[in-house]
Amino acid sequence: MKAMLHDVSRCTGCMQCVETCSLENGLVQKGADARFKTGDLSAERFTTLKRTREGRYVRQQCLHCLDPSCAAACPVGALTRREEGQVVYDATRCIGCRYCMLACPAHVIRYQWETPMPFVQKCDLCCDREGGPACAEACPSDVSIHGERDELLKIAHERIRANPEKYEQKVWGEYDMGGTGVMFISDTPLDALWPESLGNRSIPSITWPIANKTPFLALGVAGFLTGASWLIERRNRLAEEQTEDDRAQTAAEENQPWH
Amino acid sequence: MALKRLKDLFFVLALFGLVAGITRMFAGLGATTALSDEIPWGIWKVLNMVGGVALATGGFVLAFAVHVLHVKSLKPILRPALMVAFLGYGASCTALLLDIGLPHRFWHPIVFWNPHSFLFEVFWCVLLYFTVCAIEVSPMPLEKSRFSGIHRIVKKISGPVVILGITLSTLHHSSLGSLFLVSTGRIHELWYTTWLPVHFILSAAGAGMMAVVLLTLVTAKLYHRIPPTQVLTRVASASAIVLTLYLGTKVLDLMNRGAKSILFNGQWEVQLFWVEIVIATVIPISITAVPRLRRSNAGLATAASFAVAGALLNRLDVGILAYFRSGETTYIPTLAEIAVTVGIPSAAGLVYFYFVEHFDVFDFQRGPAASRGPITAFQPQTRVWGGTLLNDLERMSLIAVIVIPVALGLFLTSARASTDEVPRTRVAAPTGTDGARDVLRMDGDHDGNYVLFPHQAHRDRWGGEDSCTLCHHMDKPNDHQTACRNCHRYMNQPTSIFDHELHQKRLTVKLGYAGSLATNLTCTECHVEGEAKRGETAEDCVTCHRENMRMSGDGSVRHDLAPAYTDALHANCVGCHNKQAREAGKPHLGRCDTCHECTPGIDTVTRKDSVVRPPAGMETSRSIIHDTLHTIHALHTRKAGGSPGQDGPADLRPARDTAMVRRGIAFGAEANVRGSRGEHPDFRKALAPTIKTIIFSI
Amino acid sequence: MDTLAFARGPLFIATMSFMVLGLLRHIILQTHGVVRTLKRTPHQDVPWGRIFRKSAEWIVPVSHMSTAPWMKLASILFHVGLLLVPVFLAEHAFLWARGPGVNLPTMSHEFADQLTVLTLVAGIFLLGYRIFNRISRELSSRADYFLPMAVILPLLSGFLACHPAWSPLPYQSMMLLHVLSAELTFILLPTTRLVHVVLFPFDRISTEIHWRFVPGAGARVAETLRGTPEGAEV
Repeated sequence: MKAMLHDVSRCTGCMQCVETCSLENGLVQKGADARFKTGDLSAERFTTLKRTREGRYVRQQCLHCLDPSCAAACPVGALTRREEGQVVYDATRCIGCRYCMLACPAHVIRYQWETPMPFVQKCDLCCDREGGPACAEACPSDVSIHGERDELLKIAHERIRANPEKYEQKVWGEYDMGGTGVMFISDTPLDALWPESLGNRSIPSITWPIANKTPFLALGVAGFLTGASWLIERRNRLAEEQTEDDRAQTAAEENQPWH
Repeated sequence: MALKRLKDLFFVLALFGLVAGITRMFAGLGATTALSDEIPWGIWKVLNMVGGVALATGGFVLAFAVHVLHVKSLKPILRPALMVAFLGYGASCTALLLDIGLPHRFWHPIVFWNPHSFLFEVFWCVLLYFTVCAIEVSPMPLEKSRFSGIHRIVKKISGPVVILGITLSTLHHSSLGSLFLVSTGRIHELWYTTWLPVHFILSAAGAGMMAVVLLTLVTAKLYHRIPPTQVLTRVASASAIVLTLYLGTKVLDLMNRGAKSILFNGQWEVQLFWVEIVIATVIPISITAVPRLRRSNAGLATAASFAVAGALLNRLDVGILAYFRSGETTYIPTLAEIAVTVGIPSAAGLVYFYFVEHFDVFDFQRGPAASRGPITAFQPQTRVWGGTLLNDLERMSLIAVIVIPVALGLFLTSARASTDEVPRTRVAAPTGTDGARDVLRMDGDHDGNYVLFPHQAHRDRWGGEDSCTLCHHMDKPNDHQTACRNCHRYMNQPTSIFDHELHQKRLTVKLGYAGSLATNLTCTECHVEGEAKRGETAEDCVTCHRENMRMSGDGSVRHDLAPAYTDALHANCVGCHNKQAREAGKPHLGRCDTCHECTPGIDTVTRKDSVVRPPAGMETSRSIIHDTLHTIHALHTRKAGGSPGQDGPADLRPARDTAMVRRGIAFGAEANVRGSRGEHPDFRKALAPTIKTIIFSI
Repeated sequence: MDTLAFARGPLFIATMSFMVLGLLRHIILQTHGVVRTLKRTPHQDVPWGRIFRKSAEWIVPVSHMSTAPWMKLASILFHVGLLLVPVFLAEHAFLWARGPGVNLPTMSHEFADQLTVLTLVAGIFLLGYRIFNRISRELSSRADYFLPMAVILPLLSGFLACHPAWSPLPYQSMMLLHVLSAELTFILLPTTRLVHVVLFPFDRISTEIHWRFVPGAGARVAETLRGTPEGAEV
């Protein structure tokens, strides 16, 4: 399972990752120099650096959750998680409902608002690129490393163990939101970057117990309605027949002398 | 008359919506809506789709009452309720079609399945239920038509269809609530709860019944009929019970989650929550609770209006307003969005009126059949407004002819402005320095930081007044000035307006040398053979470009180099900075990181930087610096044309930062610009203390 | 500057589409009226040949040149200039290409200038004729003086905008005047008798059809004819 580890303490904020990402993904912008300016994620920028209060630079990009909320939310299954761990987007299926953008807990999915034929834009961990993500390759300070998730976790814990007074005792993304493919270790706390209310739960683990009751609910409601309708209708019919019988009887009685 | 005016109003609103919708189709969502990555769902989805569907619930609730519970007394308003459902769902689907980014793929969920998705479930339920509604409504036109066979078939299948419809409704009304479950941590906790599906179906059922009540009352009023008040009272009472249930679950849920503490903490969301609760539940329930009020039409109408408004407000809260805090942004819908949101229900209203007038929706008596109308005279061409505008064609077409242009003007241009046209460079005169506008301030990328543009110097260099049109193309609309980059092209490379490689390529092709790649065989076409290949040894441009060479005002041909973009901009500041660095003994002023953000440990040569922004609150002093610089610059450029000052370029060079030299930027441009301005010692002496105080106190 | 941007942007689109839709509406309503009337008359045959001939004569009044020949000549020139210059001017061709994406042939600047001056002269002559000729003056309403002036204004301001040296106003102000006056013309076209740009064929058609009612159609005909034009054609 491919994953990426960011060592926030090593990052100098040189933006090489951002530039490389733009070049690699051919994200054309108005004016070539705009690429080098600091800015938020956008349809033309799959990754960026966020400066924390302590002055560290933290990469912002798709976290490639192990249990991705966007994939669960997409009505047409355009967002899926690959066997190798990347959460990828199939532009041929997308209908543009933007439900994934509501669903993403990390808030990293962006949309091409400016075109009449817009698509969703996000990092796909360079899944079709030989040699892994371009940003990891471009990083001059070895902040981002790409590899198997288990091995990366091992590396992360080793670094923390080797330097316990420097590092925070946590690998962000190991368990958060059900575990993510993009993980962070840092010398300052990064908790502000994670949605606190989620904890270690993933969003699908909240919604699936509700969603999987749908068929039973449907069958239950339909069955109840049919039953109720039939019962009440039968009761009404019987009551009506009763009155009709009565009427017929009285009529018959009335008619007898004439017969 | 009121009906006629209402129809006209609906027609106007529908036309506005139509134009806005068409604009959205051609210009895209970004150009027509206020949606953003932070608030990706706007009023089209939340009010029209989620809200509209909620108000159309009356159909399924009354179908349940009449067909399942066999409550015969409610039958008179079953048909209006079904109409509400059919039109409500139709309107919602239309809005959704406009809202999704790729409307031509609306059918994708039929083929591509993702059963985990609530939206997938909603899509299927809405699709099927809309079909059900169409079947349930179809008897109305069918019984008036000749297709009695189809009518009989529809009648036969109506039983299972009703059951199916109710089931689907139950499912998707709860799913519409579940939709927002994915936004854990983003929706304000007052609204976010796992009970959302229950809340949604209860509030929809309550408000949906009230919507039917309201519609029946309004229709009766418009057509001067007596509304079936007794029946409506029963429906309103049932609705009040459901709304009470809704209020109960809401309170229970809040207590359950321990949210009592946040109910009174004064955030605006909390106030909004209270307003919503009062409008959506408390007011309608209390009005319905009073027997005298619930038996009067006015009381019923008031209760119903509040319930309907409350349900819409609730959807607006959950779908948009509760996101504001986590998105750290607000969303104010654009005119085009509002036009569509209002226009679609208006169009549905027109369809409703058509149904009411032509089919037996209500048990009300129909009016007399419309006559053929009198023969109207030709509208003589000299009398355009004089006609009586009696018939519908004339009135409706007149409305369309007035409304559509207004809508086009409103929506199309705003859409075009944001997509097609590059925003114009912001130009400002240097404040309070020179009335002649020798130097202008420009903000090409609209980031609030201006650069100086020596306008007078450019003008003088290109030949005075006659050269204006070189940059200002007077006859072309919206072409106010040529952008800097047209001449000062690449960022760091010393560039010129002469593209050498392009000329080589063109000549290669023209002279018939092999291929289209530039070849050295072409050198001697322009350069003197045997001499060094330099500008001086080349032919004049005008030898080839007899017609289209840029001429300066005096008729002489210009082909000098334009400095690179960076150099041209640097030249405005670097000179003075270096001088100050030397004279004031503050060497850091000459360094790049005085103006550029610099990250420790990264070589300046490779870093990508942005000009540093002044800290908050410092903009004022920054502009003082700018204005001072303008003053200096203006006076310098007035002396342009004179010989370079005696302490010309050479004496600045030692102070130049080594990092700049390492970057390999040829500062020829600097010399170029500096060469054209003379020094003005007196002025400098006079102003120097002021500059020093201003610059170095920061 | 912002006023100019507004006049060139939203206002231009609104007035232009108002003109197009308004003229279309007139055509549709008139056609509708003709069809309706034809359906209700016993005489279904329409003398199309006569209608075309009369309309052509009306457009090119060569055969009527004998009466007031200068006026007729000026009228032709005035109309030709009014139609050609706004459509085929090189600067306007740029607008055509940028907006609807139509690439039109253009006229040279010199020719456009000459034609504009001729049109202006013809327009002023016509106006003078209306003022000084007794018959013409008697037949004219207030709108008859106002409309030619409104139509000439964009032409004049456009000419001055193209030749800043002769312009009494700065370029931008003259441009604003040009755009606004053109937009005024757009609004006037479907709302005043300028509507004859599209309705001139109906003039003949309606005359022919109206006069083909059978005798004795009586009251209906009278009713139909009640709204005849107040002023006669020029």
